[in-house]
Amino acid sequence: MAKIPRSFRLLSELEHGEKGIGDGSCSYGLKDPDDIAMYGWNGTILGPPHSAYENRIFSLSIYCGDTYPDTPPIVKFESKINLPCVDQTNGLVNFSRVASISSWKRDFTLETVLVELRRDMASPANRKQPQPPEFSEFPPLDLAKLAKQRK
Amino acid sequence: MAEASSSSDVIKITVKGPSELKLSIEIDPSKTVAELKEVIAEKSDVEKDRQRLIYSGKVLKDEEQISTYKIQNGHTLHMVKGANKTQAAAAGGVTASPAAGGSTSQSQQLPRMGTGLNVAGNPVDNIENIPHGLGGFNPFANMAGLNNLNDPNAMTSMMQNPDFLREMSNMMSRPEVLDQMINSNPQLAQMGPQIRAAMQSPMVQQILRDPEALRSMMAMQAQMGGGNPMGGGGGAFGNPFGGGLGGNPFAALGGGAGARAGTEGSNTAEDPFPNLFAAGQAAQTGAGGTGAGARGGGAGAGAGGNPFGAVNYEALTRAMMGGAGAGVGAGAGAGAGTGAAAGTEGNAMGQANPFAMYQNMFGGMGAGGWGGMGGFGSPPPPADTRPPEEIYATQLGQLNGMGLWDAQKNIRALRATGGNVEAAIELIFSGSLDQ
Repeated sequence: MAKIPRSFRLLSELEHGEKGIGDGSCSYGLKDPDDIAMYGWNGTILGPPHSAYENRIFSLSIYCGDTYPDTPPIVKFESKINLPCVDQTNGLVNFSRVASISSWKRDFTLETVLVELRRDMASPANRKQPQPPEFSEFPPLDLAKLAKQRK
Repeated sequence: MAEASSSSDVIKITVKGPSELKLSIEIDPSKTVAELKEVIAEKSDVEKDRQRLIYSGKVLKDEEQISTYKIQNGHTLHMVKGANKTQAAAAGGVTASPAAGGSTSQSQQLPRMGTGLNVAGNPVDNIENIPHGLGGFNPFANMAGLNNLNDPNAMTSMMQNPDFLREMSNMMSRPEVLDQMINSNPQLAQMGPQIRAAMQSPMVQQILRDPEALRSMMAMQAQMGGGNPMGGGGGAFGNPFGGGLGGNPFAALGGGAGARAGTEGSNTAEDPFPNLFAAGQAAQTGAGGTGAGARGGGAGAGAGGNPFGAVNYEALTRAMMGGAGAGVGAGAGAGAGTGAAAGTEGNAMGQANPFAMYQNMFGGMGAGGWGGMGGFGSPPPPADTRPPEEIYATQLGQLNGMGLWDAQKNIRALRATGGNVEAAIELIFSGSLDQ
């Protein structure tokens, strides 16, 4: 099967996100709609109900590098969150700590990532984790730069 | 697109909110988010201050213009309700009747009525095999007003549905059915002649044949279920059936059928009749041959313990309606005269909300046809206070994995099908949830 090129793939993800397909528990879109290369994305995860995250909206930044979707995007929580897979110093998501997406597959999407993170939040191990005050944020980070460093 | 996004043109956006709220709103993008929220507040019952709007991974700020976010014609926003006192209270433990929430509730706490989920502490049921109303397997599916058996109203309409009542009385008055009931229960079989005589007594037969009588019995049961377990109220209604009846013949129906529903839940696909009256099914509940004890064993309990005990009206009704607990109720009614299965399982009827009752009553209806009736007299178990998201976490995950994203709808489908993913999918695709 032919591989879908990065741009087509991201375009379809963008459309998906804008149309709001899904149940609203996760949302994502381009940070800058004019970013033709579609590097920088925003994401939100609505805290799963009946968990410590309930009623909170968690904002994330996502950076889809040139090698996406062959490699996972860089995902960073902007809203502070206490979750084992999230680096508590900068909010970066450590994919290896999220079982369901730890081995990246090409057909994983941004939505997959967000949904799996949300699922991780709702998991029995994490859902009662004490959470930092709402509206607190991790320090900003230049994901583009980070992506270059990782290359 | 270019025109639509220019700030002077009105754009049409969709706002999706909690509880499947979906609004179509036309608005000038030069307006602020705050103004948009006002429009949403008019169209929904979510006040402006509690709305949080999400678009493309961004939380919209009140003071910004809509155009800032470059929302375009046809795009969708998600509206989320922020925390407020009501929610806090809900999180604090829901003990009130779920009926209060109702389908209009916008809160996260979904109305729990009619889900058949109140099974915590029930030794037999678990999440996977709650008796439930699977549309496809429901012999009454074609009857008007019976489409949603999880709807407490469905019970009412069912009672008023002549078809249903006729069907029931037909079945109950068929000698072969009675025979099968009796034969399928060794204890009943032992008592054979008397039971048969009792069942064939003109009075019972008349009751069974007369939809009105059935209905009034059911109605009475429903009322009693609403918190008045009748105490030792057998006397209040007298004992129209005499001691010989003992309620057991019907308890056999109930026990077998109810147990079937309870233990096998969604899997009761085929011909309901063989299962309905199978005493063996009651045994499956772990109640053992005597049927005493666990839910579903009631039939045996009644038969064994109180073959000819005085049975009050209620006990008979319960038994007839086939409550798993009904049999227990029958036994209790005769023996202790509590008339309520409640005591047997340590449930004060008073605590139980009436809807739990309903859902027990008809929750299983579809599962095995009559089998579902098993719920009728069963004691309302303590409400499962776990949120549906949690109860069905696995199933929801599966549905999500299949691309079914509408959590509300998924939950509804799962609740309606007692957590059976395949049935839930069918339900979702049947479109009947969209109405």
